Amino acid sequence: MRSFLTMLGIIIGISSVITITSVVAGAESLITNQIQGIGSNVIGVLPGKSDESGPPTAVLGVVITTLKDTDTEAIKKDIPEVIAASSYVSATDVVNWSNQKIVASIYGVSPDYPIVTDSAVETGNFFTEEHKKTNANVVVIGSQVNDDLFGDQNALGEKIKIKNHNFTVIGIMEPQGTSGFQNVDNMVFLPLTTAQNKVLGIKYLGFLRVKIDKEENTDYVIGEMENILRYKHNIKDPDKDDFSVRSTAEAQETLGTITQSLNFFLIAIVSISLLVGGIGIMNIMLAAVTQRIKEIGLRKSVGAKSKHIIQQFLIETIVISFIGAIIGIIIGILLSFGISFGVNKLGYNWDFVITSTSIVTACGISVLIGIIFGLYPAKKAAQYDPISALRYE
Amino acid sequence: MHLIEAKNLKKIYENEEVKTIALKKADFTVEKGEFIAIMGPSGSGKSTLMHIISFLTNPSGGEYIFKGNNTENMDEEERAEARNKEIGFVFQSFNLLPRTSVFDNVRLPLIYSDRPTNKHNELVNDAIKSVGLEHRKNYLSNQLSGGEKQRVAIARALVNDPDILFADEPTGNLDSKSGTQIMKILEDLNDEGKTVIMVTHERDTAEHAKRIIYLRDGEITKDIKVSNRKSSANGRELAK
Repeated sequence: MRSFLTMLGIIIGISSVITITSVVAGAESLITNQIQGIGSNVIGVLPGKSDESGPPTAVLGVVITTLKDTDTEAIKKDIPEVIAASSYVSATDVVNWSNQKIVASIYGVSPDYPIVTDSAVETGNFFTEEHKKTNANVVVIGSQVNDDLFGDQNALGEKIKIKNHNFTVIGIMEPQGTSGFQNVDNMVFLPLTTAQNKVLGIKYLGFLRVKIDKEENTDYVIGEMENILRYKHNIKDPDKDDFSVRSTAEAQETLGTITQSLNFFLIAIVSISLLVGGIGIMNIMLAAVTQRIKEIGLRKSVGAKSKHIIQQFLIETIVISFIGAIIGIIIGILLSFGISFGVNKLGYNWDFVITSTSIVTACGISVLIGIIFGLYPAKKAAQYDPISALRYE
Repeated sequence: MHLIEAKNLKKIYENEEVKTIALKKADFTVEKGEFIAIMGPSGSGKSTLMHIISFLTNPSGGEYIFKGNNTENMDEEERAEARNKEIGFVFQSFNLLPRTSVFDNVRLPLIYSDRPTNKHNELVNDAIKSVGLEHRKNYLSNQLSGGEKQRVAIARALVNDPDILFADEPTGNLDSKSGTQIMKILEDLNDEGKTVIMVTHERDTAEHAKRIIYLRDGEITKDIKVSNRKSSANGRELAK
């Protein structure tokens, strides 16, 4: 029992180290997959200013109304390297068909959406410029929406209702899973103007995305986009930009920086836990030394030198710490697997990652803690003189 | 050369409040093969004298010469080495490691010696046999009787083949039968040439020795050879 209590702090600390390193590795992998799922060679524009290293303001939930569809049209028209561009507005709402009802993400997008996102319609067609110009009541649904509302029935031509408006299903998207941290299969796509006028009642955009011809042109196109947007928004001073332009590569880098910072922060927290664990080890070993004073006296009386006593207690501490690390590693692996399993169940592709480096590091940390926090009790044990120790009650 | 030569040995215990003179003056010699009992009432300094000559503590004054070497400048490491190689100690309260087998208890001094590890088993088995406890070799110390525990303690004291066996009230915690057995083992060891120095406050026990040194108030008052030494039947036979 005493040994278990001694190692409890180490178990908690080491299992946290393993879990955190696994979760961060899984998160980095997920983020990469999600951002790559947005599409390759994609540049996004969000309303609102941000500095280059931080997240755009719009991501933080602030509603900014500076972006318009005319911005998207101008970018596509004036930059030859842009091969497709789509505006985006979104909301979450109830979608009804017959007596079926689901909650889905409603997206108002441009006809270029499938090109920008490297996606495709599985059955039927995506809407056209004509649909957009005429605010047509047409809709393209995601594969999960199709399954949930229509089951085995053919959805094409059926009318679904959103906010008291009926929309005719003209296409069903291929299954895509999650992309950009969204479940794309649970989305419903309306022509941009239809969504703005009939569902959301707004004239501005949530954001816009463009696809460019080559990754090498990213920086150039970003520059051109900024120039066009400043012109259209009448901005003379770049410090007064009311938009943020980011490529998927930059987004990945930003999110990567965030996850790394999170990693360091969490490791710092865990280090405190390990420090507490080490102090716990030291306290319990000090108590053990007091309980075993007579034994120390006996060992010294038969010839043990101070170094033997120090060695004995130090080795005991290191062994306890190491066993705690092994248990912590096992618990950490199980926790990491549980998290991976749970996140995958939500539809995300989360890799279960346990690196040999993290295990070796955990073992190394435990030995170090055993040495650092075991040394004081061991030295204290060695200081007892044999006679006083043997007489101790 | 004497085995032990004590000249004007003193021991003073001091702390912030009190200064205690446990041993005022002790002068005596010990030759190889002697069996000495150190007797005296409680507080006479007999245990303190024993602790000094068995390297468990340093004297505060005087000289302690062991096998012709002055021990004055011995550091703690050297004293530990002497406790391991030169002497064996038997305590009144046995002081065995709890939850540890007879074999491992007897082996303890060998762990700190420089004897090769592949010789340990043989030395331990010989020591256990010498006190008649082969049949208890794998028993845990808490499964033994008082007499058996003391015999394990004697075996532990002998395992490194020391020059001197020290025994501090070896029968103090035993019944009379077990006490007799222990004394006979000590007599037999002495008959085989081992030097035995024992502390006791019991006259009956002291009379098993060949020489008695009396202490009172920290000083030796008498140092006499015993003419009619008490003896028992063969201690190892009794032990079985």
